[in-house]
Amino acid sequence: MQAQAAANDNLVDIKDLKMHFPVKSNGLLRRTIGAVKAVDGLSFTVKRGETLGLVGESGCGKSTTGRAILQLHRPTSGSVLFDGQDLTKIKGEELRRMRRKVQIIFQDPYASLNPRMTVGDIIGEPIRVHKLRSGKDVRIRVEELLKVVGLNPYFINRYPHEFSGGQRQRIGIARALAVEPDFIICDEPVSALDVSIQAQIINLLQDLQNEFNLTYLFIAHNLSVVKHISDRVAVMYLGKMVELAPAAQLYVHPMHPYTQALLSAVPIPDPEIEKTRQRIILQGDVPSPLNPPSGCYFHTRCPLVIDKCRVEEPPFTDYGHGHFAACWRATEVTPILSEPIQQETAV
Amino acid sequence: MAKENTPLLDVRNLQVQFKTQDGIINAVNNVSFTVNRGETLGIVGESGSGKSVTSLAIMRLIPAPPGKIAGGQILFDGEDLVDYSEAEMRKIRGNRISMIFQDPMTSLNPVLRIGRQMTESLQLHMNMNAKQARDRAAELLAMVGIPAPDKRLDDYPHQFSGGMRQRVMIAMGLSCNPELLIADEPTTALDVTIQAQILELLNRLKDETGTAIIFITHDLGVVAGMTDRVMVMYAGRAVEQTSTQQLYDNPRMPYTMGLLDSIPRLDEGKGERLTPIRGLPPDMLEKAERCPFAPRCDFVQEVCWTTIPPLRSVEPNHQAACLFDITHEQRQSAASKKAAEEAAALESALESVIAEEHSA
Amino acid sequence: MATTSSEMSRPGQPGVEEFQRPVRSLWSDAWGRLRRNKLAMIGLFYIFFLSLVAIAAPVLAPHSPARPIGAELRERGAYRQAAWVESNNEKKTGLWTYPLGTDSGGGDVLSRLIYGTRVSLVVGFIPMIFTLLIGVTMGLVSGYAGGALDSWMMRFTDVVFALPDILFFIIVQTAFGKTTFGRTFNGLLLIFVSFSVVSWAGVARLVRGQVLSLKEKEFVEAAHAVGVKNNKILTRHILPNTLAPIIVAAAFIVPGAIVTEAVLSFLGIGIQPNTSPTNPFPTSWGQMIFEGKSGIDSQPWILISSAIAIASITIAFVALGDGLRDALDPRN
Repeated sequence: MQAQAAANDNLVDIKDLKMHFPVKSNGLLRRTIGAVKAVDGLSFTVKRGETLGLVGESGCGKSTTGRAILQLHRPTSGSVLFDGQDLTKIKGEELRRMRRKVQIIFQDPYASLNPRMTVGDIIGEPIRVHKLRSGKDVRIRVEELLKVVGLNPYFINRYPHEFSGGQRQRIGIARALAVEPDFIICDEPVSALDVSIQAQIINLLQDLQNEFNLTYLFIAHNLSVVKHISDRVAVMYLGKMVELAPAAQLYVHPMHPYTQALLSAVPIPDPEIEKTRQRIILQGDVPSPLNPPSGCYFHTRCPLVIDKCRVEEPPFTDYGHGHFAACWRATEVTPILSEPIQQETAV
Repeated sequence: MAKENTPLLDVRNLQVQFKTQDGIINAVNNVSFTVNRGETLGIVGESGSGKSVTSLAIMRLIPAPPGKIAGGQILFDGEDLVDYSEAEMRKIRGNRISMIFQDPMTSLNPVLRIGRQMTESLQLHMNMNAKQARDRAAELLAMVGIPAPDKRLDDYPHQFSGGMRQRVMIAMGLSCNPELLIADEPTTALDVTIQAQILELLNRLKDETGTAIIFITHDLGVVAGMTDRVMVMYAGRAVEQTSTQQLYDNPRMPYTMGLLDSIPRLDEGKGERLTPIRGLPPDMLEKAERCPFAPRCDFVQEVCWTTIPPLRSVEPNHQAACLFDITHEQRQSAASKKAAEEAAALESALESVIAEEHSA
Repeated sequence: MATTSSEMSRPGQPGVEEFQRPVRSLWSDAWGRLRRNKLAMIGLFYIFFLSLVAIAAPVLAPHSPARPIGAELRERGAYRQAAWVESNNEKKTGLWTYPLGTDSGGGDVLSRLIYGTRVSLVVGFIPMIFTLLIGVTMGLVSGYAGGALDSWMMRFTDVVFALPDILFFIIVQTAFGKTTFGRTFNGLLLIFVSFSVVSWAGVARLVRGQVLSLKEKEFVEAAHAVGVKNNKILTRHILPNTLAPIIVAAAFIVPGAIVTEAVLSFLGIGIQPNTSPTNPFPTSWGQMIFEGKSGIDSQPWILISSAIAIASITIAFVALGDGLRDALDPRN
């Protein structure tokens, strides 16, 4: 494993990933009358053992990206290399075997567990499907997994509705861990949870990553959470990636006006900072992905817009130190947040 | 109308109960607070804390049955709303007190044009004729930043985006110049850039109209920028009440501290670990005479299991429902010690897994 | 600081009582809610009671349901009144041997009523099973496959849904009523088949709708993501979650089928009368209404008793169905 990691430290390598959903007319003929470009040409890599954060507002295609990587939706075009193998090219039994390596944790702890199955069956199913254990050993393994995610193994015969939201999310995590994956896509894993429970789950995810050498793609709309857990952060807008940078770098020195606006919009739990903070309030709403604007997709709301933006789409350019941005005026974007504070009390 | 020396809203020992098949739930338990004219009070809590039920009780909108206001007073401008008849309440609602909700789509009627819905209350409460009401409605839409308000009045709710719909709700909420506006999680369903727009709008309108606001949210970040004073609720009780600045500088209830330590901050340094509140959210059916936070508290003592701590004054203008004087620093070190213990427990669980895997 | 062991016994802690609490599946929860619904429970017990009556008909019925001949017929008399009715004609005066009197051929009305239970229950339950088998299969396949197959299957379902059912039954009965197939089980088989052929479409639509929404649920995506095969996803994840509405639908199909049989028999094209004393389905309530209508002046109880029987079984099933819907789909 170690030698392999040295040979190729990109666990996932995504090239020009596109996911277009056809819009069909009603009626028997169901003619295709257009396409929603939910994901439109993404290229990025996820390094072994890192957490890549993926942020964006609703409808930007971040969840679709996760599902396209997992092949839950088959991408329209592009490639998803996982450990050197292109997932978009395989199917059937071969794909099912690969599913052991890539897992997903969902947002909604109520919809993500089958209400008619016991916790033991939910977590045991992947083990049985991949024949990782058999007979009584399945149950022993499920009990171990429950302990690992911080639940009492005694609850193995209970049904999902007997648990609270945070406990259900732990069950979902145990199910993902059951197949001993290398890569987990966390699709908004804490957005549906109460604040005090969110922190528990974030810590659990971090502990599990350290313990099992997991690689995460952490999808969320909450920039604070993403920044907290991620090594690198990618920002999406209308199906395209507009910026990708190491987490600290993105915060201190954003190179895309959208990132800058997002950062300035996130409320900080400190009244003094909030009172004096400079805000960039974007005007208007996100345009429809069915009919995106010409040129740079962000030009309709951009405070730095120039004529060039309206006609020509900016390329996703490398500005060094792993900092990528797709903006004609990337170097003119100025930081508006102060340097991060170091809490003296932090241990 | 002007009784300047009394608070605009004075809620005293409010009790709200819901009857369920599993027993009676005390959704709001002995909650008291005041809102002064022009002031913004934040009510913060997690799901099930009773924050939304409190606001519905003020509007007398608790669905009965199964719910009922079981005790207490809601003094609005000196008059007890609990004693009001439904007809008297209708004159208050949407007129002197109005409310905006989390999901604007469910509070707007999908088959009526926006204009019709807006002019209805103007004609009812403000005695305007159709023409006046329509002009005023257009004026209100312009005030909340909706372009081409005259045309948009003829649109249906689904023709507006989420952020625009919330603007319409705010315009409707402010249409009769209310003295009190209750905003129940008004930005929770919105994206962060749209949330920033709405918060900015609310802050501007607050200055322009001088309306008092009760701002209900679970987001401590939003509270920091929006409110003058804050009340923290847990399990149907008020557990801390003070000025916004004090709450963040010197929280005195371990629950508040835990909440503050649970949220990752955008401006935090690298590699910090969260020190969350352990355990599960409270069971509302639980009737024990004890501190509701005791099962999750790092400082729990024998006495906490037998007494409900009253909201006591810990410093001027600062009340907390904790029997002890615990500081935020103490909580942070205790919580990280606990976290280390939990991490050790996890470690041993993992070791057994790995050992088992090796033997297999 | 409290120790871990003493914390376990604290009130409100997930202590001993938490571990002793019985496991509650959604089904046991639903049963608990149903049991608290008085009307539904009365309906359930009534249906249970009728099932016992149907099984034990030969023991319970005071007389053979077959028409008597000779001396027996003379003793019973045609159109003998119910037991409590006095008549000038001694042959018509009620006797407690024949509590509800006799029909035009001297058949004992009470015995016929008891035997009629069999037809009603059989005619309610068996087409219900056929209907569900066809409807659930069509709905599952159509909803899960999606695309063109779904489109074509649903168009076909729409066509079936649009068939005018009574007209269809009349055509089928006149076409096949006299064939061997039409005579099997006194014509019951033909009723089963024709009823199922027209009524599955509603179930198929219901199930398809459920499948369409379930298939987008995250737990189904999760099953795909861990590599569960399609047939397993259908049987383990989707089907069990569609059962609740299917059960409710079933409880409403049964009274529909019972009433349909009664209507057909009333029109004279339902089950065919069989006078053989050994036949298990000699008569039906619908037939009794049909006969009772013409004899309403001479002997009203043929009509009244069978009408009450049909009405009460229908109400029982509807009450049960309503109760099941409330129990299985709690929105409060």
